Amino acid sequence: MSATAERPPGPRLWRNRRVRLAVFQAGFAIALVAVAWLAYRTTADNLARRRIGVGFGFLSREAGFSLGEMLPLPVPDGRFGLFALSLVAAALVAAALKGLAGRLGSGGALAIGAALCLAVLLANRALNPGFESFAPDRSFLFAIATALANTVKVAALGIVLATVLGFLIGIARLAANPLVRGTATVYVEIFRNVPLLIQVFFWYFAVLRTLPGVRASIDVLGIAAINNRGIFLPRLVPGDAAATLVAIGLAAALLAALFVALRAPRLSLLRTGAIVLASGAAAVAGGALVLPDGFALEYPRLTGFNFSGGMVITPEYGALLLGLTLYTAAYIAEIVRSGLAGVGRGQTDAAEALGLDRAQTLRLVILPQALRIAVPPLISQYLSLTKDSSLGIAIGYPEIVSVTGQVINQTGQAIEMLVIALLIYMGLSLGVSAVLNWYNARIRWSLV
Amino acid sequence: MKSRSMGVRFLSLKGIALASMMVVGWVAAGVSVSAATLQDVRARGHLRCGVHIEKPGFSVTDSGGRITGFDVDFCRAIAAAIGVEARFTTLSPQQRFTALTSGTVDVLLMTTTQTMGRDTTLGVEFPFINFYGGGMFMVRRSSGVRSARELNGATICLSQGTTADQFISDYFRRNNITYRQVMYERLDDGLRAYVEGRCDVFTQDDTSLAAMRASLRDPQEHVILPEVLSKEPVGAVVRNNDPQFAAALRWIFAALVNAEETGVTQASVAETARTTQDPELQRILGRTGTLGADAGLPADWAVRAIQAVGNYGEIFERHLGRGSRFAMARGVNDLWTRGGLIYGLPIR
Amino acid sequence: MVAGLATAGRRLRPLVRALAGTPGNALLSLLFFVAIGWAVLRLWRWAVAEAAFGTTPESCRAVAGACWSVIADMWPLFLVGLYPMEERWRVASAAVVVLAAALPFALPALRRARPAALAAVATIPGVLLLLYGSPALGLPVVGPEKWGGLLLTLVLAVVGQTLAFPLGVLLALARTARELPVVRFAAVCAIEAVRSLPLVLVLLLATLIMPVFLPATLPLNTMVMAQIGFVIFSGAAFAEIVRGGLQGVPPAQVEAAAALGLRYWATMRLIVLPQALRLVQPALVGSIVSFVKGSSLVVAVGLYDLLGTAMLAAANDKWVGHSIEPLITVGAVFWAICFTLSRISARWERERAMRTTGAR
Repeated sequence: MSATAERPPGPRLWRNRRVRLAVFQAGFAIALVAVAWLAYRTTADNLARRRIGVGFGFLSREAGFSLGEMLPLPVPDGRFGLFALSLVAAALVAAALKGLAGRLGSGGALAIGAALCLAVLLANRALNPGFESFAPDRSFLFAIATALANTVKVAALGIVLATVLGFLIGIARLAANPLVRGTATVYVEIFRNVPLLIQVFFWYFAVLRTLPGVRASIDVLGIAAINNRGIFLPRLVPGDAAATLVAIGLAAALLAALFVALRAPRLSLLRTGAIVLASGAAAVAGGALVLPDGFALEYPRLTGFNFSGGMVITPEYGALLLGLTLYTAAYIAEIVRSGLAGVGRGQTDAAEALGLDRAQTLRLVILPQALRIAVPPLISQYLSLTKDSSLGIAIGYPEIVSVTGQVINQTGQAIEMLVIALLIYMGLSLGVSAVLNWYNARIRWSLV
Repeated sequence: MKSRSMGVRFLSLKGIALASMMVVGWVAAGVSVSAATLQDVRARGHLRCGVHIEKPGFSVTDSGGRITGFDVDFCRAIAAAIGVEARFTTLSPQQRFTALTSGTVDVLLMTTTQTMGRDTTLGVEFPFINFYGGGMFMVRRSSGVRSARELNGATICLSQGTTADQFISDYFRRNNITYRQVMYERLDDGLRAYVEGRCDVFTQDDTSLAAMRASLRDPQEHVILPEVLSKEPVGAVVRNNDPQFAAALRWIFAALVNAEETGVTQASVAETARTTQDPELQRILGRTGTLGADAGLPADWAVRAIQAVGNYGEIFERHLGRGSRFAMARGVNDLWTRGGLIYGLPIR
Repeated sequence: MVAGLATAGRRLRPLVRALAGTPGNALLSLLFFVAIGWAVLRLWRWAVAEAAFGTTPESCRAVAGACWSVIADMWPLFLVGLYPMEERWRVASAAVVVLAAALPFALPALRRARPAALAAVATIPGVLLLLYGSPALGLPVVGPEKWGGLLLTLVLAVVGQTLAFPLGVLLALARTARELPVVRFAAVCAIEAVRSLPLVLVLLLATLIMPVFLPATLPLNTMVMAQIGFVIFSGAAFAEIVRGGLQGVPPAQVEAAAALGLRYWATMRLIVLPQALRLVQPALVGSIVSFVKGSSLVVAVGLYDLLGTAMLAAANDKWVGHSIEPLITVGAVFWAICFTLSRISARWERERAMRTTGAR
């Protein structure tokens, strides 16, 4: 490390910029490695002295605790292999389609691929190929995977809802009506300037206090119930003919995708996706009339303490989703507003001169251009929302940080668990930003 | 951005020398950690106790920032026996073991359950148990539930930093009944969610359930079910690299229990120490023998501890028993001579 | 009189047109009016008309609305947390010093004066010393583990931003150093890694892992560790903003500086950074606002900042169940701080815009 050892023979070499840069960088790299090595040694030393065991062996041990929300997850058994294979097949079909139709727009290809993957996923879900829920006799690893699923579940829906609400408020910020404009401004100034954690707490306890108890639940047409344990909805359960039905739906979706790819390759992403999904859904619905044993609805029923059967949106999920949506929407509104403001006044005048009405002008002229300005900051808002979902820990939503804390408390393996959480978030962030950046680069013009 | 000559100036000898020195300093600093906690504490002038100030009865704070409670008094007793001031570091349950083993605090007094797993894998040691508790369930009286066995399908609120999630899971699996749980980060939020009706059951591993029930707006509306679902012996925790410190704590606690057994109180201890003819008390209170010095403590260590907070019974009554709003019965935390588990180890 | 009415009517006409120009618009206005009126009325009834304003739990027994008594009883906790009673005068004097140092910024004439800014920054160590204490000065030590409430929130935010800013600038310079690929790669990795993590996780990492890989002899406590985590998190965010500003400075500026014979640091300090930072000033203030809000997450690592003390108040056995009122109170305080910051930033921006257009 000593600098004198590296002192060059003459002033000339020393003054050579390249040499100096190279030496400096080498020194920097050595220093980094040295610091990393020292940190490692200190850690090992500290752990050894305190007799703390290190390793990831605990991950396969039985967790011995339960979680608040447990999404069924694909479990690696024989049928899971089938599931993975079908996903790969779907991707291959999408790629082949893209090759088949020379002029196929990338939006179309994406829509087809996505629709097919979704269809395959749904099919596998319906046939239950090795999807299982977490239980106390499952491993710690399974608990972490469930937590990851919970994080994705809240972040994905939060992104969609915050975008919709944010666009509405952003447009309202520029409305002619002062009452509408004022309300939107007050909304943005309130929600942007109060810590999200306070908002999440507030919504959670406001939701709990407002909703009635289990015995006094609000009954919705006899098929759903709302109380302070959550919103209980009916659930689709597959019957004997489910596989046939799903296959019919898949085939229809595939045909629709082929049709779009060959006949209307320039159709936008949203429309292509909608057509493909709608064809599949229509085929399934039509098939269900012929095959009555396809799917059945399971209704929530009050048994003992709680409703059982059906599916439930818990207050924790609801409050976290509400908090994330309202908070992020305020930021998105500002992004949309500055995007809209960034489109020149001349554009509106020109659209008017062409005879477009207000709605058409907004949809066809202003929004596409505003979107171009708004997409990069939107991406960073989506990433923030994903990270902010970690506040679920405060109100009992079992997302990654919360389950990490729970496992640390059980096992004392703080370092290992925090490293796992760190890697998961890095992966999530890199994944989301990679997808969105790609989207930003490719799809920008065909979105609307 | 063009930054033509970036970094060239970094290459000064001074900079590199400084960096090397810092690295060397780190290595040197990393080598030494003192295992002589008693000496460190005395040199520092204060004992650092890790507490969790969200547990009614055990440790809470008032608007003046004063921390009080059952656990807090044991910390004060230890500090007094060593002859230093007690200082408190607030910790979250998740942090406590790291904070202890990394030397941020000297001792944890935050209702930490002694379990075999913690004892053998976390690098810690439990010098004494100051409270024998058990995980229990609280339900609404209106639910009509009388036993934990009737809880099939119930929703349970609990908080992190306890061993509750494990014992609940064990209990329900053993009895082959199902449940749902909501796990909060903080104890207080769990209780609040239960009060708001989110859950049928609120559970606590740490024995302060009765205290929390008493603090509710209408305690009569809630009942604590009779089943004790788990054993939760809680007490002090120290690093396991310093047997002398652990021993000192064990015997300071023993002195507080011995004081109750022999009827020595906060008010009477000074007088007793001067006048007693009982050879055992003379030994405990430092009149004869070298027990204090052998433990690395001042000769009058026991007198100081008892003078600071009173004997075990006085501490209990002040914070949890008749002197408090919780009015807990001594139960298993009574002296062994009265059928409890609190047993003063012989000081000789 | 009549003329006055006529003028008023003329003035009101655009407003009326904006509110009810078309039937659809009129309906919309009516809808919003009713909704806002209903919300304000309910809020008034809950927060004022039917609320309790005592100091004891008993005062809240009979009311249907808010129980502000918990605030009246626990407010010192909200301000300074566990700071010992007999030493709280030090916090009060620190507040006076800080306000005095901030005063010049309220006067437009003094705002641009560099001495005023330097003096404000220079008070920070003094104020910290006053809060921490020093036996040599006759002030008993009050360790950071006892700081709480608004005090802790402000210390975390001010000290954090003061340290994070230079860190962010350094990281941004390292990331844009074209000729030093190793340094740039390290900076990119560091920035992106930290930025991909939620603040809660960074705080947990700082308080749970840092003590393990640092030598055990360092005088660490939770507050210092959380502060370090906070600085690293903010530094990475600042770095990205400053990088944006650096990219906005025309390369010709650097070339001109090189032609003048300026070395790297001189170029950066005198030419590039002033322009870059001016470009991104609104974004910088925006992220300072998010760090002030983010400081409330230290609750997760056992510290009691403003939000934490609100929860402590509700955890006190006297006040169990009264959580909404402290929550709303501290929410309002956070709002006031953040709103003021963003207003000040907006005003500076306007003033600067006016100056630059005036110069042309």
